Amino acid sequence: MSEKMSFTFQDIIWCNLKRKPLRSFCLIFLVAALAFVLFGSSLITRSLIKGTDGLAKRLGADLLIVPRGYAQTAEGILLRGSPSAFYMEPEWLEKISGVEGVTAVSPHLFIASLNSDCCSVPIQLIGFDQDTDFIVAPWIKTSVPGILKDNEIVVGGAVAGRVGDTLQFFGRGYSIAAKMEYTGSGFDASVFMNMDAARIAARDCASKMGADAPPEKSISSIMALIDDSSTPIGVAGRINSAFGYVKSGIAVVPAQNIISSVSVSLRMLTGSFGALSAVLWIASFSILALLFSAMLNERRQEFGILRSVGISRKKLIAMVLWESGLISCIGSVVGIFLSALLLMPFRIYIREIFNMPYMMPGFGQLCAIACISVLLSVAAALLASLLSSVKIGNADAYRVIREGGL
Amino acid sequence: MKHRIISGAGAVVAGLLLSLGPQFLFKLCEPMADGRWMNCHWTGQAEIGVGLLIVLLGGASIFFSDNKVRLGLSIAIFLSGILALLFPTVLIGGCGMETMPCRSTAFPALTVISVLTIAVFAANTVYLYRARNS
Amino acid sequence: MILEASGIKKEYIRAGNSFWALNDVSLSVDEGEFICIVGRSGSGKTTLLNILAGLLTPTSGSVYFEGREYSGLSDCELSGMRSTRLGYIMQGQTVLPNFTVLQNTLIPHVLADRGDAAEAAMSLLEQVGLAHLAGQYPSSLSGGELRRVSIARALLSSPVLLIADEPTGDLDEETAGEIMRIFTSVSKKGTAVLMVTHDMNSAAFGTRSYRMASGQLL
Repeated sequence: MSEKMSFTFQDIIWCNLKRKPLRSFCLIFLVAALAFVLFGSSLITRSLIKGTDGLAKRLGADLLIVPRGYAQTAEGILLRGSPSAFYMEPEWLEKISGVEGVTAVSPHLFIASLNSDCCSVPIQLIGFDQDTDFIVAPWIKTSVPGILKDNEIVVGGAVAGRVGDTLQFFGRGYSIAAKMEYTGSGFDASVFMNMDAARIAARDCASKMGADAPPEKSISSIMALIDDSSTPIGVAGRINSAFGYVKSGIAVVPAQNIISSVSVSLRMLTGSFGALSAVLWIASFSILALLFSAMLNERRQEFGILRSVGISRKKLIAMVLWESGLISCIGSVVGIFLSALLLMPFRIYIREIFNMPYMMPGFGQLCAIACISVLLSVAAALLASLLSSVKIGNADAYRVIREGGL
Repeated sequence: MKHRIISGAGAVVAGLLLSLGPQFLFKLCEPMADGRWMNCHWTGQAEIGVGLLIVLLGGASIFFSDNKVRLGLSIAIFLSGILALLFPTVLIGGCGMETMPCRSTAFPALTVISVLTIAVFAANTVYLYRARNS
Repeated sequence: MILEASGIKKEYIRAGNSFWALNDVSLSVDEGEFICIVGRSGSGKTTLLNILAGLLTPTSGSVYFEGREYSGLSDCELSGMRSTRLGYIMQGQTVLPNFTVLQNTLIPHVLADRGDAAEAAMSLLEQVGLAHLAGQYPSSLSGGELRRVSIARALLSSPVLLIADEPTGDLDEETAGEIMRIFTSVSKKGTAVLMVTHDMNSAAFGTRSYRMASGQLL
């Protein structure tokens, strides 16, 4: 390579890093590891918080009424979209709406699909009543369709296919009339159809599986809204006392209970990730401080020579800080790139591991998390090198030279 | 020499993971009840091809010492990496549901390996291009 | 008068006992002079040079360089002086391993933010016979070549005073002779040279010589 003629202060810094590749690599690796964990843990935490927030908004109901013994299953549908089916009598709709404090009720019918054409895994089909619905319509992303025909469906954000595409269930084709927003909850992996279509699908399902068809007009769950003067627990109590806690054969689950059970796990996870990040920051800072101290001591001869040819204390400290700043910038960008590269494609797998609503933050928040992670990593490296560089910079030039072995 | 072996071996490993990973390590979806394969299967087949191509190119770059030949091989690996990324994301795609194995594990793994291959061999290409005259 | 040192004393404490490394040393240097100081190891030569270069503060006494007293100068001013007006060649191998020969030569210039001096550096390297090695790293150079790089580096800013500590200490006779010829030609062009050595042959090149013993200039 031809000799570069112009030579600047930045070149001095760059040469120092480039000509000591192992030293630079070790420092970059350490800062990258720190940035990797800082970015990764805050991204996971934010995604869990956003998923849980999404779920709270998504539920949109105050009470969930299901057949006794199916409360857990219903939670599975809401949180994770785990396909399942259960039935209760349609009369409950009227009975519940008559309870004091209940302002609106809307039934759902759950059907677990068999392997459909699109997928080899079962998918949750949900029948909803468009006349009374207050759950599905608010979350339809594209324009709200009029009355859904029997061969039309609304799909969750995670279901593949665009409006106008056809999906096959139990040998019947359904055209996608609308798509819902992505929420991070179980509804993302669900398919919604009108009640009549859902009952036909339920019969199709039963005949394919060789099981008995569900009772005529049956429903699976009831979502209820209550007025401002009542509490979910209070209304649940009223329902239980009106129809008998055991005798009724139904379970009333306040939606808040589902969310709060998630919130408890969320708080624990957020706490653990926060603690992990803090411990790692302190550990990295200590290791970096030790490393810089050892490295700068080793470079005393070099600093002594630079002092003898006229580098001032201030400039010597600036040089060392620029070096560590540059290294930590490269390291944190590498760490964040690798962390994002791993966490973003594997977001579905991560959701499965945590078994909680999980939703990636938007681009703006993602950038903010990245910036904070870069700042924290660079700060760790700069603070760590500042201690040693000030010590060397402030030492008498002659002592630096002498101790450098000259 | 060291650089040649490290970059070549890296390409061989990446190529092997791309071609054999979906078959053995991070499995794609099973065929449907009627025995028909879903989309992700064909992505897997395409990855076998492009993965083995990367293995061969990487192997060749270990044996050729001429800088210009290695520059050409590096560009070829870089472009094959892009192809390996495009199969699952754009060109063929996978199954409909996000929760299916291909979408939750196999495709993310393929994405990570191909993006790393692209990044490393973009850097390698720049390095070899700048070093070609020395 | 370029440099004037008077009544320089330097006290060190070693193993609890204090001793005077320099004891009342006075010295003045004029333009174009080539002054040699000879003396045995431990006689205080290097301590004196470090004080004269502004790297070490004396216990008492004063040093004036171009009319300014060191004790009144800040670290920045002293450093600026070393990178522009005063060339200092320290004892031993002082070429930085991370930089090429040309870059090493340019370092004081870069530190003083004085713009592009690559051409001047190349012509200096030519003078010391190293132009063909400008792009090489120090690891491929011999001891004599490395010393000549230090000399080129010290001369780049056209200093008025060149201070050299044992510049021929570890070199063979022929190479030492070459270095002395460079110093002689530099001093003839007007730069004062102050050299410390224990090699009497080298000392013979000086226009004025001193002997140093027990911290005193004789």
